[in-house]
Amino acid sequence: MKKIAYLISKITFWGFLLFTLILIPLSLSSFLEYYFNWDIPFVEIVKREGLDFAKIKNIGIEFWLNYTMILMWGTMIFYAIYFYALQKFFKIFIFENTFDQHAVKQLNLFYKLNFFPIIIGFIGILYRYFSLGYFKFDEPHFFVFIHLVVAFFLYFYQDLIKKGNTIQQENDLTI
Amino acid sequence: MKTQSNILKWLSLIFLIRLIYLTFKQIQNLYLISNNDKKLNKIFGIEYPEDINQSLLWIISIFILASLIYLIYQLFNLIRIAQNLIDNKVFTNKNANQLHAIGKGIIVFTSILIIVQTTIDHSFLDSTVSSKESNSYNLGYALGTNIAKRMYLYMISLFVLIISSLIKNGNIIKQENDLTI
Repeated sequence: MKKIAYLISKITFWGFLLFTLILIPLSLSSFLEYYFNWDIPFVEIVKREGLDFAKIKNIGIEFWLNYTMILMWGTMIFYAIYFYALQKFFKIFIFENTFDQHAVKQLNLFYKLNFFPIIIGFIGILYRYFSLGYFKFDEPHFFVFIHLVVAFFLYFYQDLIKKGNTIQQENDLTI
Repeated sequence: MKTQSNILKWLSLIFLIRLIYLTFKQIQNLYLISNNDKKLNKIFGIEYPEDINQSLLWIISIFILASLIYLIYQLFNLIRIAQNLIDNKVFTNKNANQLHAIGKGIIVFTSILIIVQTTIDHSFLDSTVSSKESNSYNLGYALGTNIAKRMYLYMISLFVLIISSLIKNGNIIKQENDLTI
């Protein structure tokens, strides 16, 4: 089970990384096509309901040409880092000695990473609540919820590993 | 450790109350089905189409009720484990085994939920969608959306299984330590 989880997280990390490495240059080049009228392959500018969209041919991705693109880059880069930390986290439980300082450090990094989407998601939820005037449990809330659950479990692990580390050290000293 | 275990205990307790409430609603559903009433209570967001086969409805409802009772039992175990952790009985074989059973239990529960919901969604899509999508496309669509919806439960089970393996490892080191002393 742990090995499958490690493999999935590794594939997801590489998937995100490759997708980010393809998407960022293409979205940057769509800006060049939009502002300087350059003819960039794979990119097409589409107008719909008065808004400008960049369409990446053959991949089927379309994005609105405005500041939201920076948010998209940020999200892609963040989740590439996140899944890198996740695969490192699973690696601790498969290949390495679980109860050592290195494991605590890896866990701490992954634990802290979970707070970025929680904080940003929370701000987004508050913004939506005050601008729309109503509250509805949907996708952004769900993301915050998942990261909160993961953060709670990691908080739990940290303490377990610290406790195990103390026993391990006692054990080593006694031997 | 006490703070985390207390949070775990209280969260499990809240979830347990919710599950007991849902179990009563599901029992009420069984009563409504026996009276041929079409307005059933929604459990875990499962909506039944009006033209659903009566035998299928019975099977699904009994499955849901059984999995709810099973989940309640596992939650009771989780509360007991949280209490053990509060009492500083962390690295014991009993805790590890029970957590392992809980992790596997959540996987079984989620899988049942996905199968049930996919069966309903598939029959719903097949009977209502006017597009030319094939039967296998509808099945794939229903399965994909349901797995995505319940993915968080698989994640939770995975984290619980990791806790169980941590406790198991800790127990081995603790035993070594006790024997050395």
